[in-house]
Amino acid sequence: MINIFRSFASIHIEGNKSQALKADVFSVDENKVPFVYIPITSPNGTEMDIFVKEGDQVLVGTLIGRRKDFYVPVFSSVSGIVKGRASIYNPLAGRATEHLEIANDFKKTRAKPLKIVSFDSDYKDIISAIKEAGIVGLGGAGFPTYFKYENSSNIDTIIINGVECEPYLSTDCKLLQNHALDVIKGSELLRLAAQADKVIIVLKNDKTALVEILSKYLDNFPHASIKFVKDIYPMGWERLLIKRVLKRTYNELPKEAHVIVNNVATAMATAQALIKGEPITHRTITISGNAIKQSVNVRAPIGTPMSHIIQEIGGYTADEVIAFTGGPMTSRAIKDDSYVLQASMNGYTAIKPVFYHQVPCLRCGACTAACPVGIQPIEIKMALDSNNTNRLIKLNANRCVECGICSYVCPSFIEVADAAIRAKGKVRIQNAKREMAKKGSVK
Amino acid sequence: MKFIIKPAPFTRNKRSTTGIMYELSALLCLLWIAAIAYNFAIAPNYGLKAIFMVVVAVVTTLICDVLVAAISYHDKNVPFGRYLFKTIKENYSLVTALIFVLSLPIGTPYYVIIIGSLFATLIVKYAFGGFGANIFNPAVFARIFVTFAFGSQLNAFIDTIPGNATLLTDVGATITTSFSSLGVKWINDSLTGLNVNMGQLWLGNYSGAIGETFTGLILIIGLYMIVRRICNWRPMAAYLVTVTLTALVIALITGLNPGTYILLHLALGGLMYGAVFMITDPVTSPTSMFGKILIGIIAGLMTVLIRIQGANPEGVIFAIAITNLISPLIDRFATGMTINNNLKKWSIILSVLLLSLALNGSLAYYNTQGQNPEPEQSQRVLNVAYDFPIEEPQNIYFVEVTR
Repeated sequence: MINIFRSFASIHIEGNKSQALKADVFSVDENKVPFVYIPITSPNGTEMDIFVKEGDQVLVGTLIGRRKDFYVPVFSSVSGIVKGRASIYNPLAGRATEHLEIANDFKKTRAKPLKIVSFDSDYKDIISAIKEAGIVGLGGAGFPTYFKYENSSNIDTIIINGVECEPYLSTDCKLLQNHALDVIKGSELLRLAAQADKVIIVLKNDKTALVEILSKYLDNFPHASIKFVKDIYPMGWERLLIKRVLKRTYNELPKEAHVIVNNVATAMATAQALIKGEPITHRTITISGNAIKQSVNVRAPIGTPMSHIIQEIGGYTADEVIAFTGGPMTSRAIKDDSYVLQASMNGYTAIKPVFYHQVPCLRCGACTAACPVGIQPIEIKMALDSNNTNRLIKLNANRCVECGICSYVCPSFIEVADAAIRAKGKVRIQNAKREMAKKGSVK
Repeated sequence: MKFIIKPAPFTRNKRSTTGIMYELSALLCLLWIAAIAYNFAIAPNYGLKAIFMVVVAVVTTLICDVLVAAISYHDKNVPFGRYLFKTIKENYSLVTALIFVLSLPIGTPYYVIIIGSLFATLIVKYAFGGFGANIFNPAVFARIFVTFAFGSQLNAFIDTIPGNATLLTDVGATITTSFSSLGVKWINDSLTGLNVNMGQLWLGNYSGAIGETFTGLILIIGLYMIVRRICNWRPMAAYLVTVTLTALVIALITGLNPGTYILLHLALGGLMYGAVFMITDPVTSPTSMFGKILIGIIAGLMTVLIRIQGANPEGVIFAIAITNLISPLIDRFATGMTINNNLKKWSIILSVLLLSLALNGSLAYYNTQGQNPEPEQSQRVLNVAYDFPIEEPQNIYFVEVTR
């Protein structure tokens, strides 16, 4: 039934993907990358355990460290010598973090491959292989993949998310074009790891050309299928995806609906690690935007400085740009391009600055109607402006998924999404305070 | 190389508030052009009056903008010219002026238009903080203000028509006033004696408020506004549906012809004008979609209630004023998730709708008991008017209003 209390969830955003999709994947010449910098700080701020020291010889795929919070090993992406540490700006953390500097010896010698598994292996072996390979969510979140599989039971469906609803990004589509077999094999391995019945590769309905490529291989994998969804934003959000594909809803995590969602790039990385024994050492990202000379998908070793990659493909066309890692809807603007490529980055976009003239809110309710979560962004902004935390809690501000659609639809160009994100932080702090006060009173 | 820091998202929808407001102004100007054409067809001075009424209102609101900009100008770093331009551009006074003046009849004196525009802009809009912060619709409240302050001067004719000396002595009112005084108030399905048929009523071929009369044209403009997303369809649709259903129930209870009665309710008294331009005003509506539907239904309830029971001949502007009042309250209580509690929302909406049907139906039944629903000839004072250049060109009747 049509819900008259919401909009018809039909907000289509101009993709701007065609240029990068037409161009072939550009591989950065590794002989021109003298140094790579591997980030050794976890997203939560703690430093990793480091297994190499200054002057050590490393190869492509040598284990150099492991995260403390999750069991995520980190591998060297080039062969060479460990030079030491460097503090470099990291846009995912929003500040400068520690990186390990490795001097490239241009030999591309590979380390001993990882332990490989086959399709007949036990599901526990597959999960431990995923764990040892350091596979993380490559769609942008960077969440450790093994954790989803270790802590779930009764999973019946794996969804491989190839929707890529953010404008400008086209890596997933490129990977499906060039590595379709790897993606399907990886999907199958993920299905076996979760002991699920089926795996669904979800694509946008404008990507029908990919069916020909995929269907060649799908005959050998009877559990895998393809499903198309509408080209609307935010279709790639897993809650909406599960709702549209499987008609299921859940409260906190997808496993409640017996589903695990993984990205196409994650599936491909899984296949390469578990079948070929190669950990994630390279990453394909989309570099595009109207301030980039040549929009193209680029494959580069992890740890390559972004400024070097951009120079390789032709540089910028404008003196002033707004640049961000990822798509324009959810990413934070970066202050410079001196940072390095990381595994969980899926795009780099630089656009010519456009300034929107903000006018007063006309209370049209477009943000409320468009919000995929079902909260009221403009009411949250007004409550935030009046510093009314109790009302923020009542308005469920902590449920915001930061998709940015509220700012996108706002005819007055108000930064509603920014306010909602700040309100979310505020509510979380307030909830934590209450929690602590409760514990204190119990003691 | 310079990197600019801004909050996400970095791409925006092309639909802007300024665009919406100027498109709305253009649509209102379309209505103005229709009014000019219609009034020139009556007489040249009618046409000129229709032009100058709007000009006077727009100029007055612009003067108000300049005044407010002069008072509120404080930042000496910004040149006054730019500040003034910003004030005028961002307060969209043009829309207020147009909606207000198009709801006035042709005989309104210029000073009433000036006072009404001043009231709308300075008191209802700027006193609360300008566009976006006003809690009442300026046009609606200015219309209510002039109705009470200058009611006897809101005539549907000008004193003089060249070559029509008889009209000099006429007194008159709008057709809605005449209709509501026929028999039992608003319980009547015939236009007998009003010299308009249903087709002319929907085309706007009669004297009334200069913009409100073109019901069919306004409906088309409303549909265009929905398609172009200039306004939200919810309050408009909820309002029209509520009035339609309530009129249907009244017609069934009192034995009137349902089709005619519904069409009369929708066409008379500027209801369509209110539904398209006044109740859809987003600034004075709740932000939630549920609230937008709810105010539409409440406005429908109040409109019919005032029509059949109130002291005023029509209830559209009062009903809309009441919804403006309760909008902040609805915003306050509609705090939950918009995707949950649909059962609760539906039950609230349906119960208000049923209340409208039951209340208005029973009042209509009560009012018609023991009274003759047929119009009495003696109630009307008829006057011979001028020839219309339209079909049925015999007579125009004006009815005396006692206030």
